[in-house]
Formats: sequence, structure tokens, C-alpha cells
Amino acid sequence: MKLEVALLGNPNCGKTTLFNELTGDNKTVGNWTGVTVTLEIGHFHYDNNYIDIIDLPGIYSLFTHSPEQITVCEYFLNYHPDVIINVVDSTNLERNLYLTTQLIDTGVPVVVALNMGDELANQGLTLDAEYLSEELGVPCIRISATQRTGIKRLMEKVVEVSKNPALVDKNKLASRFSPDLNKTINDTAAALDASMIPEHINPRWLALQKLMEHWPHNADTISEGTGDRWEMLIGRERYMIIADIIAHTLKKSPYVNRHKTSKKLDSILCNRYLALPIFALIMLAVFYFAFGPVGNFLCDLLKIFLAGWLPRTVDALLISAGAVDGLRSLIVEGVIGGVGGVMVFVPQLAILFFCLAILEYSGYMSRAAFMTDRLLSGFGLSGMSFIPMILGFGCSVPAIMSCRVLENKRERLLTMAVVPFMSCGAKMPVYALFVAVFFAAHQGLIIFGLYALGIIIGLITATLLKPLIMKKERTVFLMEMPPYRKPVWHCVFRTVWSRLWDFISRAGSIILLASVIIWFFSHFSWHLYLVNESNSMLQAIGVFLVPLFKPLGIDHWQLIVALMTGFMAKEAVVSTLSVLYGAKLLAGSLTAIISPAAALAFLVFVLLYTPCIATIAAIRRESRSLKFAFGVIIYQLLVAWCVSFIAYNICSLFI
Amino acid sequence: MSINDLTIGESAKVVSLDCLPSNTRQKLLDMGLLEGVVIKLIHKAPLGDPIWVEVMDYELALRRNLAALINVEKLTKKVANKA
Repeated sequence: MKLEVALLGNPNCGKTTLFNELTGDNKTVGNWTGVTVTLEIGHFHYDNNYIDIIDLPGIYSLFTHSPEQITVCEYFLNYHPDVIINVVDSTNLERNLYLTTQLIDTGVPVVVALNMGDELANQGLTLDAEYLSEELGVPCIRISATQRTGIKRLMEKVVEVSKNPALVDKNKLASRFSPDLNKTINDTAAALDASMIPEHINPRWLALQKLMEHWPHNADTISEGTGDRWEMLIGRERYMIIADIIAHTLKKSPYVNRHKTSKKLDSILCNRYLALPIFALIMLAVFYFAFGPVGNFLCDLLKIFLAGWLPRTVDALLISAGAVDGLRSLIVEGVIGGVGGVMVFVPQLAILFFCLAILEYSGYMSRAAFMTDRLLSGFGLSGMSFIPMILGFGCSVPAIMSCRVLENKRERLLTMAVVPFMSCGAKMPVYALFVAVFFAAHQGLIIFGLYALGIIIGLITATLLKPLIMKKERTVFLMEMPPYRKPVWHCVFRTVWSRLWDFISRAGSIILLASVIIWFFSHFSWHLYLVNESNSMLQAIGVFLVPLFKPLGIDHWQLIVALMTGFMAKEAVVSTLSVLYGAKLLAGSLTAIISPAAALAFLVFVLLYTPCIATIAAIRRESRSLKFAFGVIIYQLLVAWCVSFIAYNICSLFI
Repeated sequence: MSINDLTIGESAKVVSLDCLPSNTRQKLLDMGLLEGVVIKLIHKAPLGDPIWVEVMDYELALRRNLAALINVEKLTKKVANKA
């Protein structure tokens, strides 16, 4: 049997961990008509059933305040899941069940997964799952997504419920609402146009959404009218019902020793005076590990293999096989030089992604957002924008996607415009190459300076664009602060690996393609004769653009061509230069063609100029505006040129 | 009085949310912050804003300008411990 299961829950409830646990790596990204964002679907077999599980965004309620909530409502109206798995954080039952009561109202059978039961037990509490099941009218199963327990029982129940929906008592919860309210809801439901109601949806839910003016969705236009009054009234009843159920479900007083260790940690890490210094130290440590001695050492090891042994061996093999010069050059300089030039940076990125993943999973990222909110609000951003910005140091694409946490659309756009200025991991190979050649004595300082410059330009951008994008709107900053949790290693490694794999597979695809194309254009003339680089097509294109870059001190066409390929992926700047100059001769060639001041201007340009094509695509998708995406390209090109110009001229005075 | 008038470690009961714009009030409702709920101020950010409170069984950060509109009634230590 084929089943469609929707996975839902509050943010931080362990939903994604469960999703990964169930599906492993077998997932695809689906495009859903009528649903505004792309969703991940996992596929797996359970007990002769083929199950598609849809990872819906984490939300607090089924209203339509945020794009995530709209996505979920659209999904329910347009698709027909057999079962909802509602993941609930057992340590925070009261608020988590608020969403549960709304999900039960939709009419789709719900199975509740009571997650983090182990944590609850550590706090000396026990949870009566049977009582909870009975009172809610839906099966509740205790699981621990991180400890991998209870998952089998959960899936058994899901299959059981899908075969026999009568296991779920749809009216149990409804009967707990006050008679007056139920009458109003029923009257509203009766007045609905029956042809508008999808078969699998309980009219009661649509009636509720309509009463509260959340249907059809009207996200930004919630009126002060009757919808608000109903929402408060219905919300209060829900919480009363929940409090009543919980009083009988949780044994021992719920306010004893909650998250004791977490609180102790926060009393130090979030202490008013210590918080910022500790935060600065942590960030410095991350960059020191990744780009300092440890990262450098690992990269050097890899370089001995990728830039030394591998091309030498392959070249020798090709010679002994009698390959023609052109082919040898294509494989050794084009493919190995280009792709290898990028691959040597995998260790540094692995360390960076690993540190970021730990900060994310442990809950420290939320603290960082809390601490920086006041600083960022001065620039029109908020602490919520801080998380996308930090993720931007890894890769802009997931960072742009994480802007969804921002509920205000304009604040989201503003953050999207700022994120690409955060120096991403792919730009790092370019810095590493140039600082090693030009600023060997001050490597760390220059790289740190570039990161800092990116942040400063990002903040200036926010200040400049704020009046254009935000108008006079004020944003609401409301953020849940989850307790610290020990990172679960298999989750951390999964995240690191998937981000790293993205980089590696890009090296095998886009970078490979770019390297071959660059090799081709740099070895052939317009008449397709094999020529040396100074007569090639690429040279002609580069030379045409030289006047534009001359004011920045960059007057060699190779560098300009490298920048052009950087639009495909930033690390292609390095692979292009490796192909053009030959991986071994690269360092020497660079010192010969530009001054240190121009090298710095070049790095500043790389830091600031148009984001890569994948980021642009993400911006277009998330902003749903082609105009905005183009605006970002043009704005960043202008900024990059101007700042590089200034950097070049100032540095020329000193260096 | 509002949450901003509390010192760190003090608890209070939410009396009214009437001063808030309706969409903000609805977001607070989603987060379990409604009339009658007991909250406790536990941290302030290094620059004094935002603030960090405990509500129900979890913790929530919000800005002072929003907190100023949430009317609360301070609870004495005894009552707070009971709640």
C-alpha cells in the first residue's frame, strides 16, 4: 500500500531528526502546485507499505501569519495526506499541544509522537501517554528521535490508523469546547459552500479558520475586527482544555528542576557582562580552527596529493599511453588542475561546517541571536536575521532559505540582500590562494579583515536599503530559546556531510564543466586553431573588459576571466586561474602580474561582487521576485567595484 | 506595570494584552503567552534589550518595546513558588 504521511510540529521539537531517522538519505525535493515553497519528501518502506513522508515547516499554529504557516494550510487544502505525524516536545507539552489540537480539527487522522521523553525522565517526570491518547482522541506514542527508540511503534500505529481511520476519535476534542462556541462553529460550518470543502478536510476546521479570518489566507491583512476576538476566545479555550488534560497527564509538579544544566550554562554564557566576550571568543575559535593552523595543515596534506602526486602520475601515464599534447593538457591542466584547485579546500570547509552545525544543534545560535538583536536592530535587522547571516559564512543558499524564520516579508527581503555579503565558504579558496602568495606574514589578519569588511558592508547595506524596503514598518521580535542540548553526533555529521557533499559534487559538475570550458576557450582561437593562451578567445574577451578593471589595479585578462567564471561558483575563480597559469606555476605568475595592493582589491571584489548563480536562484525563489534578484546582482557589482577602487587606492599609498 | 518593571528572577502574572496590536497579540497566543499565565524574567541581553522570560515550560525572548505593552501584576515570592 502507498501512504502519504505529513510530518508536523513546533520548531525545535526534533521533527527534522525524526525525518532523517525515518528516511535516511532517500529523499527528494518536491515542487508542489498551490504550495509556495519547496518541501522535502522522504521515501521508505515499512512493513510492505511504500511511504512518502512530507517534511512540513515547523510552526506554532495553523494560522496564516507567516509564509510557513501559509504553506502548511495550502498543503492541507490541496493535498490529501493519509496520516499526520505530529511531533511534540514532551518537555514543553502545554505549548506544543496547542498545535496538536488544531491539527486534530483538520479532520486528517493524527498520530502524536511524544518526543524527548528521555529528557523528561531526566527531569523526574513521567508522562501518561495512554491517558493523553484517550483525552485527545488520537494515538500518542512515546519516542526519542535522537535515541532512535519508539520509532517502530510509531510507524506501526501510523499504518494501523491509515487502514482504520476509526481509531481516531474526531469528536472527542471538539466535545470539550464550550457548547456556545461549538454552536457558533457548527453554524459557520453549515454556512460554508460545501463544494469548496475538500473531501478529507473536516468542515469544522475551515469554519474555525473562517471565524478567525485566517481563511482564505490573508497573511498581512489581519484586521482588528471580529476575527481577532474569535481567535483570542478560541485560543483561550484551547489552552484551558490543554491545561486540564496536562494536569492529569504529567506526574509530579511540572515546575521542578526544569532544564537545570541548561539554566546554569545560560547564567554564564548569557550573563550580561560575559555574554559578548564569550560570544566573540567562540566565533574567533571557530575561524581559528577552520582557517588557522589546523585547517591549513590538512589542506596542505591534500595539496601534496592533488596538486603534486596526482597530476604527475596521470601525466606520466598519458605520456606512456602516447596521448597527444592537447589531450594531456586538457586532462592535467583542465580537469585535474581546475577541480583539484578547488578540492584542496574541503578540509577547511569541513571544519567550518562542523563548528556551525554544533552551534546550531546545541542551541547556542539562538543565544547569539538574542545577544545581537539590539546591535542589529540599529541597522533595521533583528536578532532573527543573525542566524541567516552566520549560516552565510558557510553557504549563502541555505542561509537565504533560513530567512523564512523571519515573519515580516520586508525584513526577510532586507536580510536576503545582506546575506550574500557574509563571506561564504566558497570564497575562502580565493582568499587562501592570494594571501599565501602576497601576504604570507599576515594571512590570518587579512582573512579576518575580509570577513569583517563583509559584515560592515552588509550592515551599511541594511541601513541604506531599510528606508527603501521596510518603509515605516516595525517588526516583532519573538523567539523561542530552546534549552541547550548535547549535539547528537549522527545528526551533526549528516548535516556536515550533506553541505560538504554539495561542495564536492559541485567540484565534479559545475567546476569541472567550467574548467573544461575555460581550458577550451584559452587554448583555441576564434578560428578553432590550437594556440597559446595569449592568442585565445578567452584572452580577447578578457582584454575587452580590462578598461573596466584598470582603476582597481587589475589589468590582466586572466584575472578578469576568473572573476567571470566566479559567477557560476565562487571557487571557480581559483580553478580558472589554475587552468590558465597551471597549478604549479600559479603562485609565481600571480606575483609577476599584480601588485599586493591590486591583489587586495581583487580579494575585496571577490568578497563583495554578485553572488553565485545558485544563490541568485535561491533569492529569486524565496523573494518570488525576479526584479529583486536582479537588483541584488547590480547592487553588489556596483558596491564591489566602488569598495575595491577605494581599497586599491588606499593600499597603493602604503604597500 | 509591565514586564520591563520586573527585576531578574521576579515572576508576574499577565493581566492584559489589550494594548497590543491584534496580530502581535495573536502571535503571543501561539506562543502560549495569554492572560492569566505566569511569566518570570530570567535574563537581559548585554545591551538591556531584548529580555528573556520563562513562560509555561519554555523560554522566550522579546524586545522591550513589546514587553512594555504587556500588563502584568507582580507576584510575591511565595505565590510564584506555588504557581
